[in-house]
Amino acid sequence: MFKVVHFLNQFFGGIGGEEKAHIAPELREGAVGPAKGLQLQLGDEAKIEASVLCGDNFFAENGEEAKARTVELVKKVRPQLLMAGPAFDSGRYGFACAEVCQAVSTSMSIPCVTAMHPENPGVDASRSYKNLSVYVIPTAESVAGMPDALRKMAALAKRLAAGEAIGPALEEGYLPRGIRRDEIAEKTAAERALEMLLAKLSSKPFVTEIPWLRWARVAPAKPLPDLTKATIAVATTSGLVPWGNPDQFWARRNTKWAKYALAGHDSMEKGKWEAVHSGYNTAVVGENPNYAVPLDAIRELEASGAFGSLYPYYYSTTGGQGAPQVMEKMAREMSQDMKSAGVDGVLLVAT
Amino acid sequence: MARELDRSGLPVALVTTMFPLAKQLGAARIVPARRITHPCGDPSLPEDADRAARKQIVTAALRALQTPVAEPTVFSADQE
Repeated sequence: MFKVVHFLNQFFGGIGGEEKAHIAPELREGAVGPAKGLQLQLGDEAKIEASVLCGDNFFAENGEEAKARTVELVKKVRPQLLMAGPAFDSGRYGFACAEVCQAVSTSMSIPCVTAMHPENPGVDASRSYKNLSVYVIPTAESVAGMPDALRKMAALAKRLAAGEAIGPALEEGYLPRGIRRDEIAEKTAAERALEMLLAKLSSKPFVTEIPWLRWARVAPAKPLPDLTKATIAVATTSGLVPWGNPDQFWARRNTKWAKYALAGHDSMEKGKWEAVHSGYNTAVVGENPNYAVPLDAIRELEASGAFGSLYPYYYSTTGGQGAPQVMEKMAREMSQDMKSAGVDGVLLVAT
Repeated sequence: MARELDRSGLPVALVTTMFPLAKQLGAARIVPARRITHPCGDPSLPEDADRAARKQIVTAALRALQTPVAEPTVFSADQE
């Protein structure tokens, strides 16, 4: 029998509402709450052996501990599949489902199936992991979509139980994960591109192979009222670090940022700095690091009174193959640091 | 990153060679850089001219930081 563990929150687990949102993960035998309906759909092909319940707030406030405890409980049952939710549009619950799926799938090497509304923040969290073993099924916003969600979750679970290969998101109906898999195409890229172009020109439908990321609009920050009183910070995605790469930046898919002292430097001298970045030839910046952090020019302008003062550290990270969400997170952390340090404006050099 | 810094209320001048892309992606204040491998300056120029080019880029960035903008705007260093 194909063994399944189901993860759900305190509300769907029938323990209580917000007043019980603080409870830590606990294990129950068999199917609880909506998982009873899930078990009906699964029939004889898979059995929900146990359920793990966790309070929404406990998970949101103790993420690492909640994940560790959940994985520990799931491991006791040794299932072949984990299912979580459906979470609909509940943000904390959706996020918990995404995190549990990622943690269980990576630590136990089993597939995980969850379900939530496409705008649930858990979807972005799950997508950021690009985990081939985690499937997020789209649901309605509210619990009214329960029957449909359970049917789809069960259908996918049965196929996983049968050892079937699961195809691409657009064909199978789960949410795209941003994973590109190699496959053999009968036509060359040029032919396919031309077909798309012709379809577009004649207003016929076509499906792109490279979806365009959509970005939310950000209102520009207000300008600096008086440059001569402003503290300016330099930041760069060039991966320029002190020689020896003390914080061990990665040359690609880096997730670290740091700030390094500029006090006492009038120019970025060759031999004291190096660029760690897989996406461009760093030799030129190595010869003259001012190409990435234009300190010699900044000091000259600072001395002439063109602006108030230079913040005595520069911010650095490596942008090579950086996932947008990771880069955004680092920028948010940098902005907090800058604001608490009294920085007024930023010069950001990208390579 | 530029967008997130702007979102936090810090004006940012983004010095980038890929300025058409930066514009498309909604960075507010953009200063075109020289090349990917040497954004601020140009090693093919004599040392003085190289440094002057770098100063032009920084000057354009400072101008950008004190200019109100409503949408992605390119501030050319050639005007300095």
